[in-house]
Amino acid sequence: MKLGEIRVKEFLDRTGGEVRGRLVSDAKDRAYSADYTYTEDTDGLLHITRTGSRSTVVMKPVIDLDEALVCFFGFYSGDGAKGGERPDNPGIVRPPLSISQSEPNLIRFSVEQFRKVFESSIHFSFSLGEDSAYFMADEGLRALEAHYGGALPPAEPLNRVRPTLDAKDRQYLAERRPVAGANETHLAFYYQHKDAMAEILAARKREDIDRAGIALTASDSVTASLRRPFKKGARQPGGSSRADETHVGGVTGFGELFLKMLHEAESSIQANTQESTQGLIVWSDVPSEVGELINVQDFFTRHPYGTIGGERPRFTAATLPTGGAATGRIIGRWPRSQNIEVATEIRIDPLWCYTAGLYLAEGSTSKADILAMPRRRLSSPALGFTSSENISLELLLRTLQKLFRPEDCVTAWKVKVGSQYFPELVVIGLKNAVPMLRGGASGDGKMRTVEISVAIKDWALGVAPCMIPYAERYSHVEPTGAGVARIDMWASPTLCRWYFPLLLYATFGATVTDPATELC
Amino acid sequence: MLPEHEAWLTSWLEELETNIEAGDIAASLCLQGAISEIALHGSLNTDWLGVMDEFLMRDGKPIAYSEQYGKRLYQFAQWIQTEVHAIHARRWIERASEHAESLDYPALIEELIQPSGWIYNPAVSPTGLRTRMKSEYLMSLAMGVEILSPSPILDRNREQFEATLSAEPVTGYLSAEYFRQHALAILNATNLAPATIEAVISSCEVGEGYCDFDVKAKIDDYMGTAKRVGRDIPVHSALSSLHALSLSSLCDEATQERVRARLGSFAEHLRANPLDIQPFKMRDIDIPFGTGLSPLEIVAASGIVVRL
Repeated sequence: MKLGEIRVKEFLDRTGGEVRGRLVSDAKDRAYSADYTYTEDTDGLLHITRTGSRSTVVMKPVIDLDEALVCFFGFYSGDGAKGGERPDNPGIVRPPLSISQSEPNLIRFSVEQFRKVFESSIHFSFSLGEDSAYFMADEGLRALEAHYGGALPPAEPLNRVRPTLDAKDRQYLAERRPVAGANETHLAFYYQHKDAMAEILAARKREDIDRAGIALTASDSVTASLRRPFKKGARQPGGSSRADETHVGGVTGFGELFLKMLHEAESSIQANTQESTQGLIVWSDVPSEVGELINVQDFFTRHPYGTIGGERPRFTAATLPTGGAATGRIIGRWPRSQNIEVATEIRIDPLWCYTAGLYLAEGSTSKADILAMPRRRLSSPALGFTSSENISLELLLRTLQKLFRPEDCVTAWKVKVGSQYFPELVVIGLKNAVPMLRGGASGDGKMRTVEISVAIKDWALGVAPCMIPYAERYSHVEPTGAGVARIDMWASPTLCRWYFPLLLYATFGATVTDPATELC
Repeated sequence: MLPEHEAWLTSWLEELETNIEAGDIAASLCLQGAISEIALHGSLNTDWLGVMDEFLMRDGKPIAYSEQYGKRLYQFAQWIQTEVHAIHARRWIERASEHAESLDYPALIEELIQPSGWIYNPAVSPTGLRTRMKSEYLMSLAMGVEILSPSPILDRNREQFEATLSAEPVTGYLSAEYFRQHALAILNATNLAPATIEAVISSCEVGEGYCDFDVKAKIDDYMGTAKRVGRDIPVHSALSSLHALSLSSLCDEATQERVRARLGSFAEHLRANPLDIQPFKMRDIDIPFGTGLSPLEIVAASGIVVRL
């Protein structure tokens, strides 16, 4: 269903091709900036060139915004590359177009949406990165043995497989790691089996792409990227640190324009305005009035998306205290789950779509679990979301509140703090006359020092004012391995059985008729 | 005391009294309340022991939090904690009240001595030493040794404590090194202090005074640390500055003079800007990340202004 338009030509005319915006992510507030010119061909298509660059992309002057594309903006907001800082000016980012994703259905989805925006100008490079320590034991070793016909060839010394070391090799050998074995042996393993390991990974990635039904063009490529053992994140032989990337080629210099579309869509959804600030996005009506209206009971009773592993919920309006459906809510219950009040009607509006993508990218539930839900039960039903930005949290809460009572949307919330901010937490403790006591055997449990958790609460409510209605449910600070301090909220598992089917429908409803058989 | 410091502490104590009436109290607040009153009036005004007896004792042992204080966090079931700092706070207040010791404090601490020589309560925080905070276990050891001194328990464990303190590599944190110094001083073993404290002190020079840590040395579990912390700005702390001053006594004359001079100019700054003790900020987020001013910071700032 068409929800609105991206008015590319009008926007470029109005701004003189100047794209400016701010990117707030990971607690960094940076700017992006690019200038574009365009020509129009006889078919009315725009050939857009970035000033100072020779690359040109072809785009429609007006791109239709449907549910999937809005979902994709949310998805990219979570999992997309935001860009590195310019070395000469750290306040400015250069955003590439790339997305980190390993789930095959979501890769296909991303490819389809990128093509909607950039037409035929683009090609894709699918890469699978892995620490070569993965091939030293267990599943990885078995794959490597199979590649050699059943057994590894005898181990070769480093000076034979790598007669001349480069700077990175020498740096690797000089580093110290808390793992068994010598760096020399590990590096020799890497060079002896590098090609074999790369072939295995590339084949695996190709299988994923085939399974997802992505049709590769001649200019698309599949590559593997091997790291020296224990370099990327594996802590023991056989350990994996897999990273999947989908890079978009042919659009160098157009990340700024894409980010502008995303940010104009996001801000107009947040403000519920029909037209975005600079007019790049124009919805068909105010966003909350656009989109398919779903009868919730009907959806979960009959719709192909309204089932989890073949099961469906039951509804009973009789126990509602103030007159059942007249209140706009109805009581439902999934097998083995609890009664919960849900809205009788839901509009799959831009807000719903955007947060569906955002949750798929950043929600705490396994993506594979959500995607497999139409054909099998959720293995660990859970609904949780982590962000350091108010807008993401606010949009998700507003979405959940459309379907559930506000008091059911947040069970509790905490602040996760990565280890680079532990020194600050220690000082906060000292100022309050207490040490920083960690919980759990490895220290990543609930912070035991209440004073520190209490001291961070005001920061969290300042960063995310949308959590103020849930201030009383603030639970604790949780030290974690890395990352900026961020707010982590979670809700009852009862909610996810209702939310996830509607989330999937918003994302795939237009292209996948029967999710139980068509999603891989 | 500067009028601004006096007003700040007075206001803080008034607010605390309201919380005490609601049973919303922690051992750390009692300790800070007592220190604030001594700084303001030279003696205790509040019946802190009465507060602790009513809200901060459980099964004959001091605890860190009242039940109501624990409720500041949602469903925080771990509020009953007999930690070293809670035991230390009660004993400190008893001494400040010139009250006879009501508990066998050395025995309470002896229960918490670990085979590694450190002193902490694994029932409260079961975290292994590798991931405990250095400042935390050195603070707990210093408090524990202080409570044990003088007692036969300390004599029995002296070599153990000295070995533990000597074997701990230089931490890079002013507070951790200060607590090590304090513990070694009680053990009459400052000769066992690390030889490279000067480098720690100089790396923690920040703003007008000192910060507990060197922001450039912060690390996390992944690569690219410099990039990750590049936007974090360290802030000076009066408390950390006094830690630096104390640690300078372990250094040569030139270092001692440099630290004294720096604190002298910090004193000038505080006379002109009495409340300029800022909280941290995380990257570009312009919202205080935790506590800035606290009673301990005010008392420390006041000490710097009066004595340096």
